[in-house]
Amino acid sequence: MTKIWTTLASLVLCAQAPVAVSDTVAEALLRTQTIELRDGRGRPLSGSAVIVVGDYPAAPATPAQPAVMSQKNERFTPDLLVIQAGEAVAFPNNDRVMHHVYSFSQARQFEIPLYQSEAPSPIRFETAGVVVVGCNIHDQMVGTIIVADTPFFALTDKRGRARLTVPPGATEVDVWYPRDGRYVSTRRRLADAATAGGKRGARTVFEIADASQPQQQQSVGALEWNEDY
Amino acid sequence: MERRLLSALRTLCCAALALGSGPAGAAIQLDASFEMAVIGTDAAAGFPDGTHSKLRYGSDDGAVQLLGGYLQLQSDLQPTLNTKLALNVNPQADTALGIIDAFLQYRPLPFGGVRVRGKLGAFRPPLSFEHGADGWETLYTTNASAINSWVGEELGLFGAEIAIKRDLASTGGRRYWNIGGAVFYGNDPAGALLSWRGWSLNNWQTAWGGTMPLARSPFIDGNPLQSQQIEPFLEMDDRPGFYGFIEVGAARRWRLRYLYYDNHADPMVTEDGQYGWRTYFNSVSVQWRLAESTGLIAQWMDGGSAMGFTRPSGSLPVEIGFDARFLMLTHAYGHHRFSARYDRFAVADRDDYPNDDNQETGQGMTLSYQYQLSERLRLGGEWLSIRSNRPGRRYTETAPRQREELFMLVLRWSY
Repeated sequence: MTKIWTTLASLVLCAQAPVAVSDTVAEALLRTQTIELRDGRGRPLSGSAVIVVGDYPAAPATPAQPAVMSQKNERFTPDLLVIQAGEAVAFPNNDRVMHHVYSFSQARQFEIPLYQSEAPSPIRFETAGVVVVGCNIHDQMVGTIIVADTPFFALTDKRGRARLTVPPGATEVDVWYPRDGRYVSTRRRLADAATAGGKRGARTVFEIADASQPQQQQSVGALEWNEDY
Repeated sequence: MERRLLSALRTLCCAALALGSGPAGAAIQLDASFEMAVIGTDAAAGFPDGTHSKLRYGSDDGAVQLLGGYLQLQSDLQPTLNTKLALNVNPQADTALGIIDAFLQYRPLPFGGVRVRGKLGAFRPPLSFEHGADGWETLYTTNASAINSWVGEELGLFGAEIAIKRDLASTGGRRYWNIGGAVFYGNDPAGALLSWRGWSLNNWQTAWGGTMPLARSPFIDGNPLQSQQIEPFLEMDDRPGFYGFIEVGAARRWRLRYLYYDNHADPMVTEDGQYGWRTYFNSVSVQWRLAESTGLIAQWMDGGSAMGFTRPSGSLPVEIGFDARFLMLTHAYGHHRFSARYDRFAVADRDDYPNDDNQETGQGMTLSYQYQLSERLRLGGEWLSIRSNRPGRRYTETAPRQREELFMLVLRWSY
């Protein structure tokens, strides 16, 4: 049985690769579902994560490129990342000022002392859990990395939509969404969701009543915030 | 004492620069900005000419002015030990290039869910939400509010500050608190300008060792112990002053800060044409992000100041109470920024000294527009209208009630 899940996982991870004949059965078991997240006022919720709940042993993550959480305008961009355990994250600095990134979260503790333009080595995350990163110079910079023990997750786009690969038997998802400047999660049943759209564009819609809109990226001249203290 | 402080400051600056280029891997971060303006005003002469004007520029100044600028060097001796030197360019001051900030900052990684910050050197108390950390430059308007204009003019110290703040990243919290305070030397004459010239709305920054012109008055003319220029950062009585603050907030959403300041100066000490002024105040400031690009800043300050030898009546020669408040709204739209601010200010004269009426009331309206032309260039237009009533203006033969207006077209270059 485990072998099937491993095959399923490798399918998700190698979506671009040609599908072998023996994998077609496993592929048929996977379904892709469009999930749409909305806040309490019906507005799309972008940059939020949907993660399938359940014990679906998967192949260890071996992506060619590390995921990226850069620093731009003294913010983590994006400020929410989901990776599979075993993956690495790069923290390039796109600001003129220095940053000093750290985490004291149980799942992964690390520190990248002061750096400006040079790209520090990516950090690998082996243990599933939630890792909150901060900057020792800019008190208000907070980023969240969710290290999942499954490859079945997706982030929502500007329209609040995510295409999620759902393994057979999966009935629940964890939704990570912004609330008052940080990310919190809620568990939802796929069966309970409302649907929207026609046959081809059918979407599973979750309304997250207490979500706040994620902070947008600031353009030149946007609201500055003196972080002297 | 003053010389000791200046020499300590000089040593600190030299050490910062020398060490900054020393250890391997340490880099110097340079920031700079300069502002030019075309100015139109109906005020005859600004306060730098020794008047009771609420404006820095008058029609006797040229229409084209170099407003000033700053040059800032930061260097990290260690990942957790930082030095900062900020120089200010002020063509109207006696020190055209002076030191605004020169300090060493210790910032270890958070532990136990809190951040500890230590600061040693020359800096200003953390009073303004209108100013940025770089070069202590105004963020939303060119001219600061009455409160923070005064902070730029008369408040500067040499001391040690420590602050403890709840860390959001390691606690996973949404709200933080921040408690801190400092013990300092210097700043003993602070209060003289507020008494004898009153409040003003401007972008002046007094540099370390620099002076501010006082408005002409019979008290100053008839007192050989008082210079026409006030040098606000002097230490005269070897008595340290202090301030303490407490702040609560949610990251980039809102914050509320209370600060109490007392320079603890001996009002009976005089030195080199300056008096000690016992000055103390409370300040409450709030910043609130109403929407992603719309913000509100408000501040209230209330305090008092006194100087001189006790008179037979029991009062000191000069005793004032002062208070001011402002409310500002600012909105950014793409490369545009619109800001509006309303100021109210007052000085209450509480002594019975003849021919020294320092009573004052006033209000100001500021409208500002900024357009970011490119990464380095910003163009702005600013209009200021200030109505004030100061009976003491009769000492300089002007009417007590004045309405002064100023328009500026400002080009700012930054690096």
